[in-house]
Amino acid sequence: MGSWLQDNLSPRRLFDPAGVRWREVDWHILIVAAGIVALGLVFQGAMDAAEPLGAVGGASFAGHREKLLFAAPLLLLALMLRPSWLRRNTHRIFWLSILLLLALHFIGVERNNARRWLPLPHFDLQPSELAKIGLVLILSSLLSRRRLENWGEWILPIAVVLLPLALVAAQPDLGTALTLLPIALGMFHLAGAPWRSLVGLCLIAVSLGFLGWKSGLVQEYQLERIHTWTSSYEAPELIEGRYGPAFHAYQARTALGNGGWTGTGLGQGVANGARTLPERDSDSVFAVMGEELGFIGSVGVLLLYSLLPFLLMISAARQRDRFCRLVVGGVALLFASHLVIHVAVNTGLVPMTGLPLPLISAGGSSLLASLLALGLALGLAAHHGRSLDRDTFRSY
Amino acid sequence: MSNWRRFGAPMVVLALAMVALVLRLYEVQVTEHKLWAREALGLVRSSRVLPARRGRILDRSGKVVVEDREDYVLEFVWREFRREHPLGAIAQARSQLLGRPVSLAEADANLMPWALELVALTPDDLDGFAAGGGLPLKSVRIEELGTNSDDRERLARQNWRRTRARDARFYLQSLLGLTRREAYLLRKKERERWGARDFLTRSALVRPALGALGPDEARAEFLEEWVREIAAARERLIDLSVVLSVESSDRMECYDELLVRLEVIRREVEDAVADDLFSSATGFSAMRLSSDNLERLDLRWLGRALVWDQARLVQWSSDRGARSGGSDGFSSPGFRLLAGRVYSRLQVAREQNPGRGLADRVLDELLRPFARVSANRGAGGVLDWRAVDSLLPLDELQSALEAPPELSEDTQPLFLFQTQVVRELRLPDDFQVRTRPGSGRVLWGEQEALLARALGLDDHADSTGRTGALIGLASRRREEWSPGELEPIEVLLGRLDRAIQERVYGTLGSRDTTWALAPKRVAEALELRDHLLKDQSLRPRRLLKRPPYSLVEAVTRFTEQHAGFRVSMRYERHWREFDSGQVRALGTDVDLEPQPLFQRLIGSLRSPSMVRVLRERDDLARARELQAALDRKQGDFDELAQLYGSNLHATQEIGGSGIEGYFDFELRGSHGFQESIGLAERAQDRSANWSQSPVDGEDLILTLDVNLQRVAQDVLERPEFLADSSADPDWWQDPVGALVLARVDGQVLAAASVPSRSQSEIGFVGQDRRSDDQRLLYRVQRTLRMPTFQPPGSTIKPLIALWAMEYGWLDDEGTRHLLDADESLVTCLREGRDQASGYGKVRCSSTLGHSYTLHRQAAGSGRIRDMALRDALPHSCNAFFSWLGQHLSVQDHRDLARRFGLGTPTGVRVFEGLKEESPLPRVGLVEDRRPGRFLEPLDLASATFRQYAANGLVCIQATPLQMARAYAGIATGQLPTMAFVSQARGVSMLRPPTSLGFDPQNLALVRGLMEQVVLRGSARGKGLSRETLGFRVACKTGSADICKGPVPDGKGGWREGMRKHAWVAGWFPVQDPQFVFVLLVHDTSATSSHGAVQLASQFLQRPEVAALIQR
Repeated sequence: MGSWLQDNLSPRRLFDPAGVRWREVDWHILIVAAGIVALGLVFQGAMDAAEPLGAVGGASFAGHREKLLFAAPLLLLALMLRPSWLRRNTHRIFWLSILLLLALHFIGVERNNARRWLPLPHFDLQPSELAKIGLVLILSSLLSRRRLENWGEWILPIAVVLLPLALVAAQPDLGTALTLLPIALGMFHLAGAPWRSLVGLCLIAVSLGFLGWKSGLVQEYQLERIHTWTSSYEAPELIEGRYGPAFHAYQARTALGNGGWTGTGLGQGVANGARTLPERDSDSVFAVMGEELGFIGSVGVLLLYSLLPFLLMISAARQRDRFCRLVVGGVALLFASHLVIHVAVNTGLVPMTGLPLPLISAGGSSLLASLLALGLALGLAAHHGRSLDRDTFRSY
Repeated sequence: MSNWRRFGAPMVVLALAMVALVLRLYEVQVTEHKLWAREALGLVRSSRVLPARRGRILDRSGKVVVEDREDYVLEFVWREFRREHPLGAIAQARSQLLGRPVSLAEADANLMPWALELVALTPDDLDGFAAGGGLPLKSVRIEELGTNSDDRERLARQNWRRTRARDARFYLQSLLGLTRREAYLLRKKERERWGARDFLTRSALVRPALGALGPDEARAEFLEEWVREIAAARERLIDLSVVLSVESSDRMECYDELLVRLEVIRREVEDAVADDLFSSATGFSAMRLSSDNLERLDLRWLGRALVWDQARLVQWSSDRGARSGGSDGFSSPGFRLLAGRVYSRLQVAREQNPGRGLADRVLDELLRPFARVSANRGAGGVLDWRAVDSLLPLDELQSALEAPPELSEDTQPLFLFQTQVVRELRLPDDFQVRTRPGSGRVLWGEQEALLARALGLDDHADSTGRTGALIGLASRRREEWSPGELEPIEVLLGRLDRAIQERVYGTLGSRDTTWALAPKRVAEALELRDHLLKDQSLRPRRLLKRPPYSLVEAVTRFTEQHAGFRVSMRYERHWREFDSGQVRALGTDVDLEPQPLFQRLIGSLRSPSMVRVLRERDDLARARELQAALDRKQGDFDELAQLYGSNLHATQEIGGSGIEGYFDFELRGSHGFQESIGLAERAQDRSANWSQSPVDGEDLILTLDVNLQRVAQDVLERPEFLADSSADPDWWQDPVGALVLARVDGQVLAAASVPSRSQSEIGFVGQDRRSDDQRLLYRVQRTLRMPTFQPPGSTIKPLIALWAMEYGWLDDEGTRHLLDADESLVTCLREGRDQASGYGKVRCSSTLGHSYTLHRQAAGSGRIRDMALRDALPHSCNAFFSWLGQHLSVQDHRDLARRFGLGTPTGVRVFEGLKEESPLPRVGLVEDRRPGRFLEPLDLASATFRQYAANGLVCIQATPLQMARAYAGIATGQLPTMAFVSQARGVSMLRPPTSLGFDPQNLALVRGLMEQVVLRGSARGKGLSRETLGFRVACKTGSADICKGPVPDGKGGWREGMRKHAWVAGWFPVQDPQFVFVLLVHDTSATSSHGAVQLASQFLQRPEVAALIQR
């Protein structure tokens, strides 16, 4: 065991700073990411300033900054991670994330009827965030050796998707679980899966969802959330039900809609003023930004943020190493799916579910996982140690 | 570049998603912006009504009787106290740590030790506590969380711990009294692992002034100052308590008293939050479940939300579910309120939906409390009883429980209205429940029978009668309800509710353990906890009206030193004119606090009735809509100003009774309105973005005269005792009666009524009274009201005489047809008969007959038959007027009463001629017109009753004000309209008189005979002569039996006899009638000549009355 640790986890084995071609690091991606993080800091600061004197448990700029300072070095470490080590240990990382998800059932902290957090000395860890990275890595590893050209090649990748998905959904955290699906589907596509297979997979997923609903596997509150969404999609219905289950959606829509073209100004929004918007520093952070920046600013934030997955995909497309390409592409999909779902939830396009906006929302786990994922993507794209597998010269 | 093919598709999908999101953002932020901006504004826009000053009420000479004055009110805000005052913060922090309510008294008893314990905690202590660990306080050890409970319970307790730790930390920081900057630094340092230093040390280190010192020195310095501040805060609170106390002068007793009052407010706040939380989680009010059923629910979550222990939770639930019902159900305050609401809605439903049948309306409102709020609406949004199919709280409970029990096998609907058969009934508009007279047996029609079964009444004839009473009530328009009127509603609601409670209990009582509510609904309710706590605890509660100026100054100038207390300004009604304060009770003069003059007449203010609030609901909804509107034009502001100016608010007082009530529209003015935009927490510097100044109410000028009123009241309150063996000493010891003085044009100068104070105030409770309970009715204004049967007696005789002369029954000498009269009358007149004088069944008040002496004199001159009106009226001959009344027709009697205004309004409520009429029905200044038995044709068909009527007995009644008007009519030939108010809004309220149409000769004859009453008749030698008063008076006395009772036997003892009303009515000066007066003595054994006349004399002898003549 000792020698295994020495062989696998010694800094020399883990990191390869010399292998990083620093001039080829996608600095533009890093700059975009830094801009997003800075935006998050500004808004977390504004939210903190709006907290009343002596308030406990609200938005905290200092807390966010502290978590950022803790997580930022991890980006650097992930960037310097040795690709070969990563390639060899993807399954271990994946199973570690699965173990953490399983541990939730024994030592997890329950809040709001969900058991999603592992208590750590300074913050509570949300293993589902790490599971997303684990999933990207294991899928990249599996798919780098499979082209999904026959059904037999589908079995293992689908199994590794279903495992974390089921565990996360059982917490219950259906919102996070559902973010895994676009990541997985996207990665199947990147791996070369035919369109008709993907469509078939989607149909199967929808059918399973329908069966789950009919057989009672979908929890009542989840169904009610969908019902609330359908019954309060239009503004008048939402306003009518603002004191009931649609409270959160109403508050988010009110804040967002209040922004108008140009917004209310930093810290001047109702969301910060009345502080009735639940989770305004995490799951509803886009509503706050939308209110204070207005439509123009919101579109700007969307463009800035969407640059990140676009640039990551461009970076991935340039990779000749299939594993690296899939990892970078998977990270791009991770950011993209979070962005789309988070904004769609806050604008009422999809049912209300708690999902942070990576790099902006408060929440240590999200920040940690996002920076780790970003570091991995940047590192793999800029590293010397590439393998020349048979895919390198393949034309799709 | 081949890889682009694979990446192109996700990028296109992402781009499309971005486009969709941008479009949606455009829809929400641009297209729907106005809508959401309005909603957002609603979250931060605040407004307040600027009250108008109510108009003054002045007497006829311009003396202010009542006026609005700016008054300060000391209020208490629990949220500010618990967050900013050391005592509140300690009690709250300690409650959070112990997980049970810690009272203010308990916290005060241990103030410094507990404060020191709290600040000696470290952040790690609280973190450990939050994580479920123990907390070793000096005074008590808080154990760590056990693990012997089930998963959910353990998690719930863990979450509770976390919440408590968070809140405890907040109050602890409040207790330290840090500035905003210091609090920020403290939070910052907390994250920097500042060793194991306690909060006190940390606070010392973040204080800039102590920054240069070492930790220990800084701590010591900080501690010294902090302890001093806490002690000073306590001292200030004690000082405050001394000012507030009404019962004690001992400082610590006052302080204890204040702590109890503050604790009561705290409990009220927490109870209200618990009510709201329960409603949010279950969908219905906790008061809708009986105690038995509430006990079946697992409410530990509620206790945790409010940091209550089991005892406090039980107290709340037993209070909410308390019902003390007999067989008919419920009498809890909550149910009474519900019944009141139903009753009020019945009034409004009648106005708002007149097309709906009466029975339908009654059933709509009866079932409304049991129907879901949003459901069961018929056309036009009206709740339709035929559509009610889900009942509160049963159906809501089914969905609110985590594991809803199976409904019992009984598939019968709770009420038959849920069946199709009953729903399809067409109820006639004249639906009513009829009972067979005498037997009480119900006479069912088919429709009624079905409905009665639907209401569960088929086996209860008594309740059926109540249903009929309810429907009868609903058919009348009434502004207020009395407890008696609410009874049928309460009974019926009780029956419906009991059926539900039984079904709920039958369903929930099926197992031993309690039923848990659905976690999701509980979680959703708990999301509102902070908001509800803030909302309820921010509402100010009144502590003291008119606090001393020193207190006002202290609280307003040094706000931070009086956390939780605030002073607000509001208008209060002040009386300027008071009576003497001396009354006579049981023959003894009693000195009391002077009480407001005209108190019962002018009336008082009160909160608006629910009927009024409901009536104005639409207007207020419109006002709220305008208030929330984003873009408002000037017209909208004008409409808003008009709506807020004219509409009532639940907290605003309005005229409730008397003149204040009747002229409320003129007096109350138009409120102003101020609107501010700003965030709640930054409200300190908010400024108005729009305001409308209030318009004060108009002054009201009375016809009443302060001096004369005081004199009249004084004469009644403290009559000078008579040395007359026939007088009734009982009455003089404890007077009950009324006195009116008015100008002959109808302006009332004085309207006094006794008793005006309660027996308990006078201090003679439980004495053996010889008469009825009228002496207890001190709130009644007897010049306007007839609280009991009130016949005018012989004071009606001048009216009869005038009528008879006018229509040919009497000639100029008043003798016509007399010789043809009944022999018994002649016998009575001629001979007089001991113990039997009278005519028919009407006895003479004199045992020898009024005319005995006269006839004896006449017999000597051989002119027996000359007995005529000229003698009968001054001597008040009952036999003569009986004979006259017998020969008047039924219609004559009724026309006579109408002509003189008996049984008709006097005019004090007449209201016309103002430019703008009140939008609401006028209330107050209640006047009796024709209560009970009043010249009923069936009665008058009997000759005996016509005899009674002509003597003012048995079948006719009148108020003193009506008699005053009638006598003013005789004095002037014109019937005036009586008035208490001469001017409102600058417009005269006086109305011209109407001619009575009598022959002036007849009028002159009767007037002359009425002076003879004083000169030689029943009022002779009783103090009404010109020699005594200085002016000539014409009047008529009258006495009317009202009941059997003890009367003086003339030997110092008592015998069984008749107790009566005694009247005197007349005018002065005789040669030029200017003023009319009426005196009523209630419940006396003496006739008017032995009491009322002398009392009138006492009044007329007063210099203030004589001054009237001189003027």
